[in-house]
This record gives sequence, C-alpha cells and structure tokens, in this order.
Amino acid sequence: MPDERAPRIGVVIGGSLTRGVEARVSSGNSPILGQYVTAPLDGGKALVGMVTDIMLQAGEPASVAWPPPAGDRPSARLLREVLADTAVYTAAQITPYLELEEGILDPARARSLPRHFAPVHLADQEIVDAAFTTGGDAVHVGSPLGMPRVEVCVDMERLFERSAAVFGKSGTGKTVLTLQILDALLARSKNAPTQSERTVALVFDMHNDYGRNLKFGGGYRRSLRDSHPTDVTVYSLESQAPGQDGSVEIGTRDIQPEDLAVLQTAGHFTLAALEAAHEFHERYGRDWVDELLARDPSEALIAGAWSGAQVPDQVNWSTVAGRLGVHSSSLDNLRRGLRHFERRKVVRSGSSQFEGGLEHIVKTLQGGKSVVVQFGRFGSDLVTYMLVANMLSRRIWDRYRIAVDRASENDGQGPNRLVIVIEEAHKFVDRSLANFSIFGQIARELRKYSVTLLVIDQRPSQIDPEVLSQIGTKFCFQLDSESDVEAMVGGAMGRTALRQVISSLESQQQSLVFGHAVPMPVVVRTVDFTGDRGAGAGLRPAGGQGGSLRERLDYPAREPRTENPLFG
Amino acid sequence: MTAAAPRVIESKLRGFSCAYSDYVDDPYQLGEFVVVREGRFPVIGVVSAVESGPEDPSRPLLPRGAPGVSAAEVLTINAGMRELLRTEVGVVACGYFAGDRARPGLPPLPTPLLAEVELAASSEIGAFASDCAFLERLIFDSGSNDSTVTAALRRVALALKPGENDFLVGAGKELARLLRADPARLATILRGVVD
Repeated sequence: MPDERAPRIGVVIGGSLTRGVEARVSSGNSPILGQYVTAPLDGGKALVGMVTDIMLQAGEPASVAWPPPAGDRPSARLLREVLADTAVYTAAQITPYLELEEGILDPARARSLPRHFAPVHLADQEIVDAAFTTGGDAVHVGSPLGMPRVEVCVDMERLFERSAAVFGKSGTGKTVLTLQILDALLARSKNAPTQSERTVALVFDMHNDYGRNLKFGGGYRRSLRDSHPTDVTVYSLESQAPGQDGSVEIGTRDIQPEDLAVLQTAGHFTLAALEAAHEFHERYGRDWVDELLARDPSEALIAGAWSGAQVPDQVNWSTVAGRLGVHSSSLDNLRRGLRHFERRKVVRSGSSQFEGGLEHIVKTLQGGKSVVVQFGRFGSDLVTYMLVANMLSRRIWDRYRIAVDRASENDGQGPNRLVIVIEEAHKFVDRSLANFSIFGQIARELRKYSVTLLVIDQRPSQIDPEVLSQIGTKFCFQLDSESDVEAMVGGAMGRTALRQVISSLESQQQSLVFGHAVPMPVVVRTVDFTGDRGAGAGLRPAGGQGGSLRERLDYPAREPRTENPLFG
Repeated sequence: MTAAAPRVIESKLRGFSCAYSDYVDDPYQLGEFVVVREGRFPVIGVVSAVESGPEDPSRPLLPRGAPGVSAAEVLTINAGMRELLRTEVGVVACGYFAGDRARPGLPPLPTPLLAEVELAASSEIGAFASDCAFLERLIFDSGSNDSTVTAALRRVALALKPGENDFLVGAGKELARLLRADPARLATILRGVVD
C-alpha cells in the first residue's frame, strides 16, 4: 500500500496498461502534469506512474448540455458548487511505469493495474528513492515536480553506456545541465582506480561555456577547468587565447575530402564538388587544397592534369575542370568553399599542423584527462566548428577503434571510455549527412569502441531518426516546434503522454528525462549549481555519502510506522 | 388557541394521511417534518399535501357571508360550521426509528391508524436529515413534487443554522446524484431553496 501520509489525490476509475490509468481527482486536489503518483496493487505491490494528462469530464452529459447560469445569484453559485465533483469532475490520466515490491531493489516494469477505486496518492520521498535506486555512482539532475527536496539521480554508468542528449530551445538550461553532468563525470573519473577505468570527455565548446566561466543570469559558474584543474586540458583554435593549454592548428595539408562531407549543407558544398575533392586528392595528394586555393592553376597541377599530353595555350580553372572530367561549376563550388577557411584564417596554407596537436589530444584523453576545445572567435562560424569537430572526432575515433581492436586481439586492456560533447548536432547528423558524419557512426556503434556522444541541440527533428533512436538517455527541456517534440518521443513507450508532458514544460530549468539511464520518465526542476558548491557537487557515489538519501538530505528520521506501511 | 394534533386516518408504508378533528386555520405546512411516535417503528415524514373541505363530500360548502365579512367572522357567526369541515394533511414517509437510530427509507410497518402526528423537533430534523439520505424518498415518491423537496430543504437548513451552507451544498450534490439525467429539475429545486 502507498504511504497514507502522502496526499491522496483521488481514486482509480478505469484505464488500461496501454492507455494508462484514469483517476477521478477528489475535491480540493489539483495534480499537475509530470507529477509522480502511486496506487496499491494486489500482492502488496505499488504501482508508480506519472500524471500525463488532466481532463475535465462530465459524469452526465446532460449536466454540461444545461450548464449552470453565469452570474452571482445565490442559486447559480450553489448550482456550480453542487455540480463540481459530482456531475462534472476532474480526471487525471496516469501512465503506469513501475511496480515496486518491498525487499526487491530493481523496480519492475508495470504489468498489472490497481483495482477500481484504489486510492491514488502523490509519490513521496520513499517511493522516489525506491524507483530511482542506483547500484553505482549517480549524478543528481534535479527534483521531481512539486517535491523540491527530493533528489532524482541518474546512474552514470548507464548514462554513458550509450549516447545521451540534451535537447531544448535556447535559454532553457541545456548548458547548465550539461556542465553539471560533466562536472560529476570528471569528479567520478578522478576516483577511478586506474586510468583506463576513467571516463573522459572531449568537449567541442562552440560558445566558450565549458573551458571558461559560464556567464548566466548575471553571475558566473565555475568552468570545468576551474573545478577540475588537473583533469581538464583546454585547447583553443585561437593561438593566443587566454587560459589555454594548447592550440588546435589546421594546415591545408591536413584536410581530407572526407572532412568536408559533413559540410554539404552548412558549407554549401555540392555532392559534385565533393566528388571533385576526391578527384583532386587522388591526383595531388596532401597538396590538393593548396593547389585549389591558388589564384590560377599551378604548373604542377597542369602537369598532373595533362601528364604528357599537349597542354593548351590558355589554361584556366575551367579548362582544368574540363580536362579532369569535373563540371566547371562544381570546381568553382569546391574552391569557393575552401576559400572560406582561408579567409577566416582557420587553416594555414602549405602546412601540416594537425597531426602533432591531434596526437597530443589523444594522449591527453587516453591518459585520463578531459579536453575542452574552445572555438573563441570562430564560435560564431558554424562551418569552422563543424570542420574542426568532424576532423578531430574522425581521427580520435579511429585511434580508439584501433586501440580497442588491438586490445581484443591481444586480450589486453582497452582504452578508457570517451564521451564526445557536441553542440548543434543536427547540423552533423541530419537526414542527408548521417551516413557521412563520424557522429552518426559513433551513435550507431554504441559503446563498441568505448566512444559515445553527449549531444546538445535545439532541433531534434532535424537529426536523422536512426541516429536519434540510438540515443539512450534524453534530457528534454522546452521545445516549441511540434515536429521537435514528435522527434523526441519517437518510438518511446507512452509517447502520446510524453508529448503532452514536453509541451507543458516551463521555459527554464524544467526537463523531462527519459530513456536508458532512468527506470521511468521523470520531469525535474534542474539544479542550479552555482560556483561555491565545489567540484562534483552533483555526484552521488555508490553506497551514498554516509547513509541513506534521507540522511544525506538531512531529513528528520521517520517515525516508526504502526499502520499503512508502504507495502503489504 | 392551539388545535389538537391531527391523527392518522389512512396509512401505507409509503406515507399516511392525517386529519384534524375539524377545520383549522393553521395546519402543518408543506415541507414540515412530522413524527408518529406510536407503533413498533416510529415514522418520520414530510408534509406533502394539505387539504380542507366539507366532512361529507356529498354536502358541498356554500359560500356564506355578506360582502366585506372575513372568513373568520363568517365562522364565528356560523358557530356549528367548523365542525362540519375537516383539514387533512398528506405525509410522505421518509424514514423511521429503530432503537436510537433514525433510518432513511420505507418503514417496516405503516403507522397505526388514529395515532397522533406531531411536528418533529429541530434536533430530530438535524439528526435525521443532515446526511440528505431522506431526499431519495421525496424525489421518487409519487406523492411528492419539487415544491415539497424545496420546502423540506428550507426546513432542514433552518434547523441546521448556522451550518446551512454546508448542508445545502451536500444536499445539492445528493440531488445531483439522484437527478443526474435531469439537470433542469435540479436547478429548479435549488433556485427555490436559495433565491
């Protein structure tokens, strides 16, 4: 039986496992969307579900066909009061998620329903504790609606076992939550007994939020680097950026045609232009970009193109294109796109800088330290962000793949686990690019090569559905677009209900968490960890910090219960 | 002068009729709660009809009295006339007493004939009617109508002062349950009670 001290909100009047339980809300109660409720099941178990819809019902159709008159006449007032909760009433739709049973730690998926007229109570601390019990380290992500002192913790092992995502429109709290998750990740990693057991993060910090202080709401939050000075290395695309440990420099000789594949949309590269890139790369090797960036075709390029044949008197890019079987406009498209990087001084002509920096980053990551790549002034240039993120991730993933394959061949220890954090993910893995992007591949490979993603995005509907379906745990803040909400819930169990919950989220600091790492969806008010809380404030180590959750939260001890126990 | 209490002249489980010994000017009123204490199961009911007329229906009352003379003066002038007239009261049985408990519903036995019919005390009305269970009998009995229900509710509300508002809301909800297919009738009754 549920805790009789938790507020009773009504009684069960119908429902089904697939459509959810319908409860008639008793007078004076106003449950809200996303709240947890519980009802007793046969056999001393308790059902835990979420309020996923609230309806105004008429017990008798005639009562709404002849509504009470408006106005302040005593009879009108009395009639309205009389009909409320009798002829008309409020009903709550409850999506059942879990069955709890005393003495069994792992909650089971709901497979039975409470009986008619079973009391429905708001869930209390004890129920939430029982539902969200984690066997290992966990990160505190917030409090359920209406339960500000109750912690919801997400199992970190499960969170990063598969890729995860934080979705929401701008200003809803995505960055703060991500910072908090990463902070807990680093604090947990620090305590790992060996380097290979650490989980590290590679953060592509588009807006300089993670390496430097995050400015928010008139104050600053400590950066990852400030909180974990010995466990975070900051790289920057700007060579002279303050507070950096190294810079990421890209030479023209570092770029491969595959690096441009994700830029089809953002960089306006056509498919024919990318084909041309492959053609040039094949002919001119690592100099292909420099050759294409020259004002006129070089002698080497002409020699390579005509290779012994009669060279025309006048050679320009158009004749080169014709000679190589490339459409002239495609070649122009390719050259125009490459000149963008040259103009923005993202790449250095005639040099190869990348491998050294890349090696350093890989060693840093595999050595157990996390890396933040800051984009500085390039942060506003999406094309640059995508080029760098794709270049680095492709090569780092290759290194991890080789290390894992080698370890499995030699029965040795594989590399530590890596979480790649990317923003604006839909630009990398939209429907047309998912097969070209390394991020689509990482999401699909799950943790096979010890690399997963933490995706931060505003437009989940733009992400390839196959990639989206591979994301294990989703944190969803407010979304405006119907298509984004639809994409979020995808094939999730009870998606109609989840869609309604997402639509009701407030504009800030309210998030629906669902998926692989949580036993059931939960709407939380996210925690605002400001600077003075110290590193790893959101980490909840396995076994607790000296006692039960109740003790950690400094709750008063429960009085011994004489009747109406939680179970049986 | 207070008239003697009426006595039961016709009795059924669903209710009874009682009559005063002659014509009275101030009989029990519509909606008043009355009690018949005699018999194995004392019965409590609500006045649903009041009727006065000649004792012998075959001898109709003639409209005596000169112009400008009141009814009371006519009866004073014709001293024997009052005894030829009768006032009868119809009552819907709403409950009965079993031991110390008042139970709503039909009594197990009808009231004894010629038993005295008294007005119920305020405390009895409160104890019997505050849970509104009596309304079912009044709503569905053919001897009662909406005016009877309205009048009875006003009597109970008066007896329960100052808690009459809570009672009226509770009674309204009970009526809403009973009249669920007839919201117009519910509105009529409640309007009669409070407006």
